Amino acid sequence: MKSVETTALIEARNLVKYFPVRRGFFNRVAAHVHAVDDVSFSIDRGETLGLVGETGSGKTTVGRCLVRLMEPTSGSIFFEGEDLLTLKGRKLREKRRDFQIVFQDPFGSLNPRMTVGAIVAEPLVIHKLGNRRERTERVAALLERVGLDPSVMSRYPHEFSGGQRQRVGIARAIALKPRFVVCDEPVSALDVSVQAQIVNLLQDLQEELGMGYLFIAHGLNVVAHISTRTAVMYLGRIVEIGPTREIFTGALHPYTKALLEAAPKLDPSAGKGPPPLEGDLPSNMDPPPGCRFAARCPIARPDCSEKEPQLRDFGGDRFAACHYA
Amino acid sequence: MLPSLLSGGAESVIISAMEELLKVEDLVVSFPSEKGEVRVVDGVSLEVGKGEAAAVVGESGCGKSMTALSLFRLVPYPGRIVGGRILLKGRDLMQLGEKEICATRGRDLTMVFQDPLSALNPVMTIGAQITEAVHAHEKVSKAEATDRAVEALELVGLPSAKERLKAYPHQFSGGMRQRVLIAMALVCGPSLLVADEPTTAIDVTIQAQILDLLDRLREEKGLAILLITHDLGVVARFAERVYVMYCGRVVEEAPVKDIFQNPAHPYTEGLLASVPGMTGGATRLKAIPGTVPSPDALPPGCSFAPRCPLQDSGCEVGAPPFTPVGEAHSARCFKVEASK
Repeated sequence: MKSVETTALIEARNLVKYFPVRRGFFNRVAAHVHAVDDVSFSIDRGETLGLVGETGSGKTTVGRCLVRLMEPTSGSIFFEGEDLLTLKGRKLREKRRDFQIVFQDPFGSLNPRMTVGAIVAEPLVIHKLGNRRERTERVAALLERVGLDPSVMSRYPHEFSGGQRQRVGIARAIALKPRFVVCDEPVSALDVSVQAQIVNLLQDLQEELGMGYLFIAHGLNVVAHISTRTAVMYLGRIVEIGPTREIFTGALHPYTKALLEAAPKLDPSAGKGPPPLEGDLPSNMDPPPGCRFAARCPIARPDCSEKEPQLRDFGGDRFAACHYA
Repeated sequence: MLPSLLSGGAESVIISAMEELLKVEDLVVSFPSEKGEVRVVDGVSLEVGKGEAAAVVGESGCGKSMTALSLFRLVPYPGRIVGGRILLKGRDLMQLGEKEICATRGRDLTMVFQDPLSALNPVMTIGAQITEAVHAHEKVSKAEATDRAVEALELVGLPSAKERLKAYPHQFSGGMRQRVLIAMALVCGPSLLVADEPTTAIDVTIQAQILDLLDRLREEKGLAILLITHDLGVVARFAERVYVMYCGRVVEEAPVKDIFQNPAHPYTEGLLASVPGMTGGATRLKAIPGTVPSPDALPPGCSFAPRCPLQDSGCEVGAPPFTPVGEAHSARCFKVEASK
């Protein structure tokens, strides 16, 4: 088994995920969607890395690859120094106790035919932890911890509101005391007043259990609030990564700047400037050479569409992939 | 000459902004349930002036979308409008016959929906869908309807509009589909556009483009827009006048500046405090405790009382009345101090 010396909790190295696009006669592979294209980052124990980007930027694919719900095309993932991608069968299943995921859609991610108690107990059953009575006690404690009354155990998901369902999903994710949790847009489908409750809950749990989070979101303010460091993705690549405060107060990459400018502020006097970016996100099917943002970039120069920028060290743990940042 | 012209222009803008276009009075929408009639919209009154940008903001289930549908008398069965008046240019839409209301919908009063993909017919070209709207309201030739469609698509900033008439909805991106829907809503020259969460399904950089387009339509066409949204950031960016809804009632109404700088209702304050700031590093968010009550199990008196930091036993006696707290600013709360 491959393993490396690392202090990080989880580390992705040169992660790539292509999806084949099949077309025409014989269902031939006509092209590849470059969902994630050479992405590397690491997350420490108890740290939250925020991952932001627009639709199609590949942020959800990164999250799913990290917990091996999807097999990356190439690259490696080290969990506490151990290469996850070489694990198989029973070894992998055992390892899965350490990393869990909370999904975006609180309606689609809970089995409607299972009671809330059975949903939260399922990870314990799969990993053969405790007997029936112990599991019931543990489920009651978990539900209480996420702010639900233990008496809801015998009820079904449809009886709950979106925020309550997300609490059930969180209880299930922490049932095995994981060390790393991918939070894939956990609050995007929730109303703001409920969103704040769930964000607070996730932060409290992190403090208690010392979990590392990959927090995926398109809502910039939530990421600004919860994460220690932030990575910004555009069309399958990380264009900027660094400490959250620095990114939100002085972004380096022109895409990050535009994203921050486009986000509506809670201040009516903020003014109504012209939209920071023209045009749409291009397709990430077989992308052209050079910088993928070049076509929409306000500071692009001719050579931007020729050579692809790599993440450059700007000091202070800040990196940006731009020739002219 | 020029400065006086300009100042005259500014004045006339103010006057025309005062001119009333839509006035809703005491609107009540109710749905039958096992526990009897449930009022999902309970006594909503609002006004939109000519060329004004108004917004109704609230969380899911607060009745904002139902209020929007009521303006078109499109409340889904078995719900119905059981009270109130809806005056568009002084004409009560509640009194119109089915034929007359059909002639108003899509012509004087139009709507843009949240999900542009399901609002467009996937098996019709966008040209056919837009000209269909023209033919529904006006006796014009095919060629003229096509010209109008191209004009509308150009107005919303769709590149090479003429060629794209033959394209189908799936060939457009989310932002472009939303532009097509807006073009369809504009093709008959409405005076009021109701936009129900028009940017919710769209990425922020595209959202900025759509909001900019709506601003431009107001300026150039004098179009009044009633925006229905849950996003306070969009409200701050776009609206002039804001109505905050909670549990079927408007709980606060004010000019946009006052809502954000000087909120009076504890629910509005709570909502604003729940939104994390963009600078990061803050401590805990001030979440509103509890959840929105179900419309068939509303608490007596003020519906917000069980979640309210200011509540006491006095809050359970009947619905709080509107208390004026400033100029054109009032809140439905027993605890706010009336101005003057």
